Formats: sequence, C-alpha cells, structure tokens
Amino acid sequence: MVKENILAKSLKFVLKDNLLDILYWPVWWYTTGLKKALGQMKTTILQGNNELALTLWIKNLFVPMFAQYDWRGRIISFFMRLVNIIIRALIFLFWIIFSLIVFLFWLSLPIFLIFQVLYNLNLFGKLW
Amino acid sequence: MVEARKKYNFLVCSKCKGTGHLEMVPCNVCNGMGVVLIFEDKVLYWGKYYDGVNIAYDKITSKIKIIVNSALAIIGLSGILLMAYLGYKDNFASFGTLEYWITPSIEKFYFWLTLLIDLCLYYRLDQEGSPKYKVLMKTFQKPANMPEGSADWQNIKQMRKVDKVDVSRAFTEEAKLAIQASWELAKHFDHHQVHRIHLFGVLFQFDKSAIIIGRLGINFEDLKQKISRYLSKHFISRPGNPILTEEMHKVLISAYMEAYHSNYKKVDLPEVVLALATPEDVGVIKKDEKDDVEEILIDFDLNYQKMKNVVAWVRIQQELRDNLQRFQGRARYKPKSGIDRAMTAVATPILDQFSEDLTLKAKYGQFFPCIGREEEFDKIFRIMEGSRQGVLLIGNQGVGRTTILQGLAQRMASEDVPEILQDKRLVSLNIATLIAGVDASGAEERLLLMASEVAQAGNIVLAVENLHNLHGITSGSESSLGLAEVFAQLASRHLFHTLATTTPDEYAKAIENRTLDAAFQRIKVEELEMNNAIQVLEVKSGPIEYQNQVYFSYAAIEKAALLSSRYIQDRYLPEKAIEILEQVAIKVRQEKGENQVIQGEDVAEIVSKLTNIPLTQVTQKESEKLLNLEDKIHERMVDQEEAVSLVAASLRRARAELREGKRPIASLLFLGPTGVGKTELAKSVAEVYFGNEEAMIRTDMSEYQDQASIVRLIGSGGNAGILTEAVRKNPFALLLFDEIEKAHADILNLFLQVLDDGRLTDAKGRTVDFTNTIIIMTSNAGAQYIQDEIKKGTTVEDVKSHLINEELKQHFRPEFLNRFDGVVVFKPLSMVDVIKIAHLMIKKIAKRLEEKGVEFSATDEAIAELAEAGYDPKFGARPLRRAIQDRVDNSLADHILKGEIGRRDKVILEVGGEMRIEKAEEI
Repeated sequence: MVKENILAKSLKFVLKDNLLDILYWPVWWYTTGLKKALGQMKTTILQGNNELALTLWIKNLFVPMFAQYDWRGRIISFFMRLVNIIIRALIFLFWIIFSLIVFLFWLSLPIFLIFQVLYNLNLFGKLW
Repeated sequence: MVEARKKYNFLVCSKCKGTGHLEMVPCNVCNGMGVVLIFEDKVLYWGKYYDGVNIAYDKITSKIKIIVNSALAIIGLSGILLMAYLGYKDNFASFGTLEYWITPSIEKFYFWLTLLIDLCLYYRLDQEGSPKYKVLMKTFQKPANMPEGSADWQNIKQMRKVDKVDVSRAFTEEAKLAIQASWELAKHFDHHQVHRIHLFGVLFQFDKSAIIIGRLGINFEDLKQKISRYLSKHFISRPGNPILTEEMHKVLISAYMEAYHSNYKKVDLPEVVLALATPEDVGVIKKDEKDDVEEILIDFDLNYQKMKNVVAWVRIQQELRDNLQRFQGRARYKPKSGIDRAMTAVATPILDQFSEDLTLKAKYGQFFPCIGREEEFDKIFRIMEGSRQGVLLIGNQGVGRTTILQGLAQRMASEDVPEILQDKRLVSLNIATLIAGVDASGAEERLLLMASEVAQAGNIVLAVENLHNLHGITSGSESSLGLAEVFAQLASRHLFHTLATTTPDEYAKAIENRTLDAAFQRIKVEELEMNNAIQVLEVKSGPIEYQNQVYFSYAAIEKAALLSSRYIQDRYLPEKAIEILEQVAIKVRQEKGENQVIQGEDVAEIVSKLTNIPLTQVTQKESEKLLNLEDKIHERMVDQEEAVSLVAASLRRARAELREGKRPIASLLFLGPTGVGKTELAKSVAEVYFGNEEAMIRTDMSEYQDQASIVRLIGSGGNAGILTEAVRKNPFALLLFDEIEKAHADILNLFLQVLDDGRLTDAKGRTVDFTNTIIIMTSNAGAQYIQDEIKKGTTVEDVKSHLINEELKQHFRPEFLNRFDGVVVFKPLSMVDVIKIAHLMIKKIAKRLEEKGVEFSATDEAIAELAEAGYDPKFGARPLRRAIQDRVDNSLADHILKGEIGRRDKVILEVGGEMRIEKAEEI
C-alpha cells in the first residue's frame, strides 16, 4: 500500500512475507493446494478418456467395424467392440485408480513427513 | 482484436490532482491512490509509488526473495544428497531393509525435514503465480455495480481491502521496469512529474514494446533524440521527486482493463502501449488538451490508429503461438491412418493414389491459419449439416479458396467442427493424377472405383479443387458421358460430402446450368476486406521475414495491401499483396543487407515498378521537374499558355496527392480549330508525365457514331471492350478521345460516370479503375466561331463562356460539360506562333540529321518564308508540316541520295529553299 512508510513495509516483508510464510504453507496445502490437486485429478481422468476413446467406442457399439454392414460383420463387430470396450474400460479404471493414488499421495504427504520427522526424533520410541 | 472500449469512469482526487502525493507525502484525502476506476463492485488503483528509496527497496526485497528461495532449495536438496551419500557408502545394503526405516535416526530426521522444506518451497513458488498477482478473471455474472452516489473517497476508505485492487501487482516484471524507467527518465531531466511522454520515451528499451516501435518504422536513435529535445523544451525542470500524474495513473489502470477484457492473466507492455494510444477513448486526455505523445507520432508520420494496429499485429502473432500449442494438443488424437478413431471406416487404396489427406497434413502443422473466413465456415457447416449436398466455393484466383480448405482441414484435425464432421478426414482429389496415363473412360472407371471407396468408408469429405477441370474430358463420341457428368451423378446421389472450388469465370463457362451445377450448393468467396487482408499479411509476414532476415514495418504491410488492391488489377487480395511482400523482402535484402526494417516506401517502389505508376514519395529531382512542367511542355508546344498551365497544375495536384481519390487525375476538354496543338499537348503530357509519348490510349470518336458501337468500347458477352481492356491493362495512362462531338449521345452518357466516379463497369461485370488516368477529349465543335471571334479581337474568356453557354449546347448536354476539370479553348495560331512552330520543326529535322553526323540549321529568313507558305488560319499548323516536307525534307533527301551531303558537313537552309552545304575539312 502506498500509505505505508518504508519501515513498516520492511518489517512486514521480513516477518510476514518470509518468516510467517514458511509456517503458513500447510494451511495452503489443504485449502488452495487441495483444490488444485483435485482439478489436476479431473484433467488427468478426462485425458485418459480421450486417449482411450472409451466413450467413442461405447457410442459405436452397434456400428459395424470397417463398414462391414452384412449380418456377419455386425455380429463379429459387436463382439469385437465389446471386448475392446472391456479392455479399454479396464485400462481406464487403472488410470482412474492411478490418479486417485496421486491425489491421496498429495493429501497424506505432509502428514507422513511430519510423522517421520517426529518419529525419527524418537518421540514415539520404536513403534515396531 | 482491439475493440473500442467505452469511456472509463475515473474518480480523481481533487486535493492531490490525481497524483496521490503532496510533497512526497501520501495525500490524506485519497490515501495516496490519486485516481481510482470504479469497476463493478471493486475499485482499481495504481499502488506503486516511486522514489529513490522505494526503488532501492524493491531491488533489495526481490534479491532477498531469491536468496531465501535458493537457501530453501539448497537445504531441501541437501537431505536427499545426504541420503544418497549414506546409501552409496554401504552400497545401498541397509536401505533395502525394513529395519533401517523403522529405526529412528538423526540423519533420517534431517532427510524428512528437508523434504518438508521442499514442500514449503513448492508453496512459495506457487504463490508467485497467485491470483493476487494476476488480472481479475472476467466474470459473466455481472456483480452489482456500486451505487452511483457512493463513489467518494470516504466510502472507498471504508471498503473491504479485497475490493481495493492494486493493479500494479498484475503487471509483468518487464512492464513494471518500463514504468520505473519512465520515472527515471523524468528524474534525469529534473521533471517533477512523470507524464505519458516519459513512458513513451522509454518503450524502445524493452523487448516487447521495442517490437511495436520497430514495426511502426521508428528509428530508435531518432526517437531518443526527438524525445530528449521535446522533453527539455516543453517541460520545466524543477528538482524533486517525480510523481506519476493523473493521466499516467489513468493509462496504467486502463492498461489493466485492457488485459482484463482480453482475458490475460498479466498486464504486459503491449497493453500499456495500447492504453497510451487510446487517450480519448479511456478518458485520459480531455479533447482540447495538447497531447505530447501524438505530437511525436505525427512527427514520424504516424498516428494512434497505426499504433493500435501494430499492437493488434503483435497480439495476433502471440495468439498464433498460443493457438498452435492448443492445436497440437488437440490434433494429437487424430489418427495417422485413414481409419477413424471409432474404426468404422475402411481403407481406401485407390483413392489414396489420386488424392492427398488434408487433415493429415493439418495434423502435422503444414498449413497456415485461415483468417477472417468465419462466415464461409458457418455456411459450409450449415449446408453439410442440413443435407449431403455438395458445397461449391466460387472465388477468384488468390482470394483464398485453398486456404479455406486448409482451414477446414485444421479444424477437422482438432475436431473443432460440428458433430457431422467429427472423426472424419478431408481428402483432396487430384484431377491431374486421376486423368494421367488413361483415356477418359479409364479416368471414369477410376473415379467410380474411388467414389465407391469413399461411400463405403463413410469418414471422408471429398474435396475437389478446380472442379471445372473435370469438364470437357469425354471419351469422344457425342453421346458418351464426360467425366464431369459422371462426377455430377456421383455427387448428386449424396453418398458422401463433397467440397469443390472453382472461379467465377470457369463456373460460368464449364459448370453453370449443367449437371454439375445441380449437385452443388454455391458459396461465394469474396475478396478479403482490407482489415482482414492486413491481418492475413501480418500472419504470413513471419515466414517471409524469417527467410530473408528482414523485418516489415506496419507501413509496409499496410501499403502492400492498399497499393496492391488499388493498382494491381486482375489479381486478388491477399495473394497479390503477399507476392509484393515477398518481392520487397528479397529486394531489400539484396540491396541493403539483412536485419533491415522494410518501410512503406520500399513497397511503394516495387508496386511502382510493377505498374509504372509513380507511387513513391516525390524526390527532389522529380519535384523540380514538376515545378517546371510548363517550361518542359513548352519545349515542344508553342503558346496556348492557358491550356498548358491548366494541365500542368492538375498534374502537380495529382502527384502531391491533393486530388480527390475518386476521380481521374485530370479531365479536360480541348476546344479549337484543327492543327492548333490539341493533340500535341496531349502527347507532351504523356511524354512528360508518363515518360513516353506512346503511353496514350487514343480513340477516334468518329468511329463511334452509332449506338451499337458502345459494345466495342465496353465489350459484350465474352468479348472485352477496347477501352475497358486497354485501361485495365494499363491503368496509368493518358486517354485521348478525338472529335468527341461525333460520338453517339449514349456514349457520352457513359463518360459521365467515368469523369465523375473514375470507374466503368465492363460487359463482364468487372469494374475498371480510371482514377489514374488523365482524360483529354478534343472537339472541333465551335471551331469556326472561335476563329471568327478571335479575329474580331474578342478575349478568349468571352469566347469560352459564349461557347459553353451557346455553341456547345447543340453537341453536348450541360451535365457533360460540367464534369470536366477544365474546358480549354485553343486560340487559332498567329503568324508569330507559326514561325515559332517552324523553328521547332526545323529543330526536329536537325536532330534527325545529327544522327547521320550532319549539322543542319536554317536562317531566320528561310524560316519566315516557310511559315508564310505554311500559314493558313483555317488549318493551323498542319499546312506548315506539308510545306516543310515539300521544301526541306524532299530537297535534303535528294542531296543525300546524290551523295552531296556527307558526315561532318554543315547544311544551311536559306531563302528560296536553297541548301547551302559547307563541306567539312577532310581528315
């Protein structure tokens, strides 16, 4: 702010912007940071769908592959597509699980680290 | 692009006059804000204050920030390194055991702690991109505006802190440095205020704004000198701490608003430049105030509009880069093979032989973006969504039909198309390979096979460029189907989407009212309008610049579009302008070397060379020639002062670009008896102004006496008109119409439009531009009257007014006479004139003989005798020519044939037609 004089400004810079800042980050981690991590998870999942073209395959389940419009073609296509969709869906499931794990990793990381720090200070004794 | 914004509603503190400070202390009324912009429920202000201490403070704090962050990084890394070292020491043996990890130890404590510090560093780095330091997001739900009356400083003080937005935080580092530099510039000159001109004066020091200044064609050194002269002259030095003025605050806030409206995250220098360039729109400057920045711009032959256009250019290039990234991301999913992602298609081996996959090329980024064709795309999509009818793009060569196809391919590659076109490919049929090596029936067979492939595949949009090329390929006998008919039948079955292109001419010749026509819906592709054309040039200038290592200024781009659209006929924008740019780039590199800025003048030079129209700025030599035009003309014309000065004046007007752009350079009606110099004057003008006596389109109007002859002038059906074609091919010429009174009245009506609007439409519907012609019409009407009256001693003025009001009415309608820039009455020649003419003619003969090495002259008496013999008031100077032919040329010819005149001899014509030959000394 303009009205602050240079001394107040410097004090604020040292205390708030640097010292307090270092302690403030866990709060950020579970608020703004959490929102970001969620958003990231969403994009990852959508991207997975796009890579695998899963919705596209489901939509075309009854459309014969390679323009084989005779009844044999239709039957073979249907099963081919079904198998394809199942495989793709499985991969997609793994994909979702993977992004969930990454998200959970984000959630637990600070707690895990703090626990480890305290544990290694021998505060809890040897747990195992 | 750059839209006009409505005037901003600034609130200016009356105590500190919008500067925010009084004697280096923040103003207590506005809390040091000075100027705020009330925007929806927020107030925006510039919160950065500059003085020596603050600048030093900024420098120190930013350094401290870097130091703290690096310290965190080092500590954060040290734990990992320590672990790595420990692991290395015992060959990572203990790391693998659970025992190691569950036994507390001090080194593991340190390791985990440093990882925590890494997280903290991540947070700190992430904070720098926090919304606090970004431009507000544009919201589509409009928050309630602040109540009108509440906008006073008391209320603002009580507002919540989050609603008071310090715009300076959202400026990029470079932009902040530029503002600091403007403060330093003011300080350097001991000015107590920082004005807009200070900011303008430092722009060239920063990359992103230097591009804009450079593109404007401003030389940095010139600018620097002009600014420092201007600053020391127009501002009083008063030591002290410079403060930002009210208008600077407004500029900075409106730069922020510009970024807000463009959805940018940060305010960068282009936005600052834009805010500088729109002083009135954003309410920075009052109407009657003097604008320093504008003064400087005007001095460089620039204005705010051009500055805005350059900003738009810089932004286009930025957006292109951004779009390219987005495009690449989205086009990644487009399959490389011909099969669609849903795998419904089949392979098309035959089609692949005779075609190229445009979507595939687009996927690999081989096409340029297509600009300004949204309307055409909408039409194409509408037709394709509504039916399976083919789409036929009709446009002239060079307007960008192919670019539209490429643009469509790009949109298909990134699936930015309606659902019916999604997961499909655009394949362009190559007619040349289709018909190569086989006769018509073979080509038809190929076409049918291909069509069945396309129909079966179902994921193909077939593009056929130059559809008319299919026409006329038949197997010979009259009843057999041509290739065009076969294609028409296929297309009309609507088994697949087709997209074809053709030109209007070819459409009329080969497609209209034939079977092909019915299968297609037509979309006319018009020539790009000027602004879009300029944008296309701005986009396409990049590779040309890169290839030739030169840079285009904005003036060069603009001139290329303007001049080529005005002076190059038969070609179309943007192609013709792009070609000009290519030529200029090569020429400039060859002549001046690399890394040069191409100016508008360079472009004008090229266009001048192509068209023979003088478009460059008038040089010293040329201006001398123009100022002495009368003398120049008089070298071959005798007397007729009025006519000569009228013509000379209109030529000067034209070259100084003072004439109205929409009429011919000059249109003159020459009246007078035969042989007084009407045609001669026209020829002189052609020689002096167009550089060549032959640069003249001469039409004898006695050949156009009946109404039917109009078609010969402007053409009919497929035939081009004599006049329109001549002017189209050579738009910069003198048009001489002899004996205009003999032409049919309807033809004269045709000329009304030419004289008034400078254009004429020919039978093919093309508009022919007459604005670069000089139109001279001559007439013998009233010749007898002129002779009689001049003989009586009536002044030329009186003769003229009587002629126009009375005599000419029998031949011409008043509105026709009114359209001329000047009606010139040529006086009958007096004896004195004829003698002068005789002198000129003898000179001409002398010149011809000079080539043979013979010196020829005539005594004054001999010339007087010739004039006497050749003088006939009724026929002007014509009998003189005959007399000279009889008496001089004939006798000279005899002497030469007899071998009496040799090289280096002197021949003198004497009274009585006697030739005195002075033999040269033998060598």
